Order: sequence, then C-alpha cells, then structure tokens
Amino acid sequence: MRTLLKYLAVPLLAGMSVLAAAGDFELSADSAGGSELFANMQKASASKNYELLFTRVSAGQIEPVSFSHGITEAGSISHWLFLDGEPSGYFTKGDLIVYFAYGTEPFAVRNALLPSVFVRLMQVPAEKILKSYTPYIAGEKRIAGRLSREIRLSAVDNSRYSYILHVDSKTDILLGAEVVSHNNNLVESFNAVDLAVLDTPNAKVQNVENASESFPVPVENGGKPERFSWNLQEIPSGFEPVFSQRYALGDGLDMVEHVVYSDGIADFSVYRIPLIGNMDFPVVRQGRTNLYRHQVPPYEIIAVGDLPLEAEKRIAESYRGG
Amino acid sequence: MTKEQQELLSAYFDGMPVDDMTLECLLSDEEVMKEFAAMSEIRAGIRNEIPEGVDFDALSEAVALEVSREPALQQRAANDTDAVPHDEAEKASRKRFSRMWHDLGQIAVAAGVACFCVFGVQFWNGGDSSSGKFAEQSYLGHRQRVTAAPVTNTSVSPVVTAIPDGSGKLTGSYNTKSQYYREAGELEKLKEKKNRELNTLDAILNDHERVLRTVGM
Repeated sequence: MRTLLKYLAVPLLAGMSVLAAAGDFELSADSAGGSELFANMQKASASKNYELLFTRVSAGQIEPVSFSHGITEAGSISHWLFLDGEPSGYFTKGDLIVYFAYGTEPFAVRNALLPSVFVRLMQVPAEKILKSYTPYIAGEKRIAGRLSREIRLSAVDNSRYSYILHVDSKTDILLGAEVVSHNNNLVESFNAVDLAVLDTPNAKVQNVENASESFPVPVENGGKPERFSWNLQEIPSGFEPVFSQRYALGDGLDMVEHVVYSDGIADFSVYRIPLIGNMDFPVVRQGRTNLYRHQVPPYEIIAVGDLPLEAEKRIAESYRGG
Repeated sequence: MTKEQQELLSAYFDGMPVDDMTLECLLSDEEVMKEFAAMSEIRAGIRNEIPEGVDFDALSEAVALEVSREPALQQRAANDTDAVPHDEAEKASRKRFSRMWHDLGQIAVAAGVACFCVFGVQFWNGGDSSSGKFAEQSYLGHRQRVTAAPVTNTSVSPVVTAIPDGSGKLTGSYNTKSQYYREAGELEKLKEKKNRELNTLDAILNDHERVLRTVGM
C-alpha cells in the first residue's frame, strides 16, 4: 500500500510543480506589464518627432509608406504618405483629418475614425482598446536594425483579429504591427524599414503646419443616425454603432440601409440591400477586409469589414427583419 | 494540372488581368504550357488569327495521301475505278479526301468554338453558390482581380455530329452555328449578370471605405 502511495505521489507532485510553473509564466506574461508597455508606446508615438518608413503588406500587395509625426506650436501633427505611384495619403492635426490624392480635391473631416489600424494603435485611447484586447509582453525581436519588444494584443473573443506590436526598446515608438487571426495566421503586416528620431519636425510635418490656412472645409461626419425596422441579434461585445443611414448606393442603384460598428481598432458595416440576384461570389476576401452575403428574400444582408469571415457570417445570419 | 492553374489559365483566356509573374510561374509547368498552346490555337482560330505560315491545303493533301494509302481504302478505290486509269483514280481520290479534310478542318474549328463556349459557360457558372459555404474565391488587392470559382460538374455533351460520306457533303446533324450563337447569347447574359453582381459588390466595398472616412468617433 505504501509503495502504491509512493508511486501515486511522485507524478502528483511533479504535476503540481508543472502547474505552479505555468502559473508563474502566466504572471510573468500578464497584462499589467503589457498594459504599461502599450501605454508607454502610445505616449512616445504621440510625443516625439520622427519619421518611420515601412511597408504595408496586405492581400498580396506591398505598399511602401512614410509616416511622420511631429510636435509643432500648433499641436501634434501626423502625416501618412504612400510612396509608390501618384502621391496620396492623409494628415491629421488635432481632431482634423485631411485626405489628399494627386489630381483630386482634398477633403477634410473632424472627429472621424482614423483611417489606418496602424495609426489607431498609436492614437486611439488605450482604455477603449483594452476593453476588447488584452496586452501581453511576448518577447523581443530585431526590427529595422533595432531591438524591439513585442506586445500581443489578444482579442477577447474569436470575433476579431489580434495584433502583434513591435515597440522600439530605446524610444518606445511603434515600429511595426501584424494582424493575425485567432489561429495565428498572418492577415496583414506593417514592417518597419527605417526609423529616424528627430530633434525637430521634418519637412512634411512643417508643410502641414504652414499650410493650415488653406485646409479644405471639413465635411459633415455621419449625419443623424436613422432607426431601421430590422436588427442584428449577434454583435460581438465591445462594438458600438457609429453610423446608421439610408441612402442610394451610387447613381441609379438601389436604396440601401447601412449601419457601421467599431470597437476602436476594427470596424464593420452591415448593409441591407435588395437581392442582387446572382450568388456567384458569396464571399470576398481582401486582406483583413472580408465581405459575407446572406440572402433573406427580398433582401440581402451584407456584412463587410475588418472581421474574420466566420464572425461576419454569424452577424449577417443574426438578422431579424421587418 | 491543378484546379488553381486551370482557373488562372481560363481567367487569362477570358481576358481577366493576370500579372506577369503569375503567368511566368504558370507556364513553367509543362502540362500547363501544352494546355496554353492548345487554347492559344483555339483562340487564334476563333479570331481568324491563324499564322500565315500554316498551309491548310498542303496539310489536307498530306493527310489525305496518308489516309488513301490505307489498304482498305485502296481496295475500295480500286473497285470504284475499274474503268478508269490508276492515276486518274488516285487524283480523284486525293481531291475527294482533300475536300473532306478541308471540311473536317472547318468542323474542327466550329467544334472548338462550341467547346470553348460550353467550357466558358461552365467555368463562369462553376462553384458552390450556396451562401452557407465559403467558396474559394477572392476578390484580391485594390479590386484589381477576381479569381472565379473552380470548375465543377464538367459533363460536356457533343455539339457536332457530322459524318463525311466521301463526297464532300456532310450527313447527320450539324448544328454548330445556331448552337454557337445560342450559347454565345447565354454566355453574354451570364457575363452581364456576373458583372452586375461584381459591380454591386465593388460599390459596397467602396462605399464601406468612403463612409468610414467620414464616420464620427
């Protein structure tokens, strides 16, 4: 009997020590350290003068981008420029966002969602982001010739993507990011090539500062939300409605009812439109943006946005309409 | 040849943009290269773009000569031409076969066109369109390319039934022309429907992006 107990006790003790070690690991990679590093990254990225060159890889396309940030007398200015093809991009100054593209009139909007997830990671308030994502310190990596620390922003559920951030060890500036699915498949990446930390804002930022008087008049954002006779039963937690309108989709096309939800980092739209008639393309994948179609005659419910397709399917199929 | 290669090749011949690198990778496969060559010939035939160097008359003559040397046919020719000199019989036989092969050449081109239509329709119509499944489709990059669904259910019924009787005329049913136009009309309708679908999806994707730019926080 004593021998039997001895045999049972050994693996039991071994198991307990393994569990204890796992507990230690959980503590060492807890969200407290991650939250602190994330907060430091946001602070540094918004308070320093720098220019970051990186490539955005999405849907098989590689786009080189220059991102500049500077602190001027007029406040914080950031400037995003696509480097290939005809110049296009946007800049932000305070709560104003101005979009520009070669050959077209620039347009401006106030208090709007930031256009790039990369910039959102730096500028959307941490408390809003951390409602839907838990930050963990995941290790270290050499990025663009610099030592960086990795933060994993783990989605609280499988309804959205997770993010791996690379934060420069020396300056705490965000160097790169990867968008990954819940099973760790890479969906999109922002890969730093060079970071230049500057004493004064660079020429791009200074140009924005000097051109303040010629900014276009901001357009109205969103308009008054409308109420519809239908609803969606399954909206993932943390997503809030930010837009709700009925309008014609382009010239000669049918009226659509459109709602937009955002969790601060990811957004998605749900459209209710008259049946298209053909269903040869039930889904569309485009980098981290997916589109899912669900037919409910005489309507079609289309979920589109930065969500995994499975989540969009659940949302679209939770339509209850009148 | 894999399904994906077949889809890309078909997309290329349907005029969809396929970038140079993809095409180069595709054509590095010997089997794909053969298929590419065959489809190019069919396309050239459809467009009346067969290279000038190809002499159909000479080809028909050569084939006819080879066929006429078949023992069974020689026996038949001998029975038919008992009363005429051998050279004249051979000339007549050559002429008949030459005409026959010329006709067959035309039929082959017509059959190629019809097959192209049938495969084309099935290609465009392929894939599981049920909304519950995720088809292997993508709508890639900045809306520059659509990869259509894999071909399924590819049973092809014969389009041309033609029996040469040796006189240069055809017996049996020969409905290529009307069938071609009918299928071409159907293909046009399918393409129209598909274009309308793609345009709507494109409009939705653009609208989603446009609205996000102006949505307030």
